[in-house]
Amino acid sequence: MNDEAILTGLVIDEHTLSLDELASACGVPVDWLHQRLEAGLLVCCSGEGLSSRFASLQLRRARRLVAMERDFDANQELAALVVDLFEEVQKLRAELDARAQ
Amino acid sequence: MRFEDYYEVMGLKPDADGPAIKQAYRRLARLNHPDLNSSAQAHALMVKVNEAYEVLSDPQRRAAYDGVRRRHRARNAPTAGVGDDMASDWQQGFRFAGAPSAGRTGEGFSDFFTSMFGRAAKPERADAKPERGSDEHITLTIDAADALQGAVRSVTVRTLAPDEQGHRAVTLRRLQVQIPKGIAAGQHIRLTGQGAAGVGGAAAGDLYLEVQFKQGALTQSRDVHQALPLAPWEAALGAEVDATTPAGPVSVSVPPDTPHGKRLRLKGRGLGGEPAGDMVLAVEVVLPPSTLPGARAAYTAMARSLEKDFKPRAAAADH
Repeated sequence: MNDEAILTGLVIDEHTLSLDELASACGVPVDWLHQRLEAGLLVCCSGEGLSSRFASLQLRRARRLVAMERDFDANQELAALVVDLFEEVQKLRAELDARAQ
Repeated sequence: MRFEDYYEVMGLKPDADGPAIKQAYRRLARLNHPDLNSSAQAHALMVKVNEAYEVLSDPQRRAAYDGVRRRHRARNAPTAGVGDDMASDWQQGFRFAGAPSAGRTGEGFSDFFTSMFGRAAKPERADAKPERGSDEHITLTIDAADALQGAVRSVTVRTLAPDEQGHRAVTLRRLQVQIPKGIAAGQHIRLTGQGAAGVGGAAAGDLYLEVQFKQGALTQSRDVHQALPLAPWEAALGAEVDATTPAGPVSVSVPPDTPHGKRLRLKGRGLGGEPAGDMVLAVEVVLPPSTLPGARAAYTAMARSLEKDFKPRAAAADH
């Protein structure tokens, strides 16, 4: 089926996600997010508790955590450690790119 | 339709047990993880591996697949017939139990998988408990120029939706999506209601597009680099010139005696996000060709005035 109408979406960052929306986007229960927020493995970009808001950075991190725990049966701390390292590598690569230009 | 040998994809023997399948999946997922291997080949392989794992890690799906595989190998038949065999297997009680695992959908299962597992045995019941459709994710790779200027790009997505008979089936949809000007690598575009269809009249899920740029994809910062061509007198005397940023045109103050190659950084004028990137303008002094009317006379006059005091190669000779 072709849908030729041009769709305009919301840019996450300009519009942040609620806890429920983040859980839905990651395919996990809200409790799953709560546990990782309380453990400091995931942080929100604004708000707190049930009114926490999440941007692209947090969506990406949460999905990486889900993938690590699901694909490798990693516990939540180990998954967070791996994701921390991914993010560090990504930051360093960005710095290298910037210097090269 | 091409027959997919899932055991071959995962480097397994057909009698591999559950732990061996899981171990093979983890090994391949590690080797081809997008954060470690961003090549198109690795991505394509992981799509296949995910599909194979969806089938082989589920006893019901694996049993159905093994039956088809045995017949395929025994007959060594042209693959065009495989879909019919699978359809008949499917109708004999193997029921579609929902979407493939969360997080592995969206980026496409093969026609082979779709034909075998992508359609429910029975139409959706009218009194089914309402359940919102799942959210789907796709990586959208664009040129950096698309982000600078905005663009419309086509996206193909496979989602679950009821077909004409009310069966929930994997359907292929092509969407035209507006890429907003100023979007950065790593940002997401959320398309409300474009994910999997809901059950029992509930709303569809959303579709999230994670933006990456071609070449370097995830490694790029939000800074935008652009050349700023200047006339010699603009560079020498200073000037106010126009430049285009993702957020629109801006006026840039070029200080006097700005040399060729100097970079002017406009804080927060790069790609959006938190924090926003910078716009980095690399000065390029462009000489007017001497063939322009009056140019030869101007160069000659400048040479007479400055040749005693201006020695462009003196600095290089000192080094």
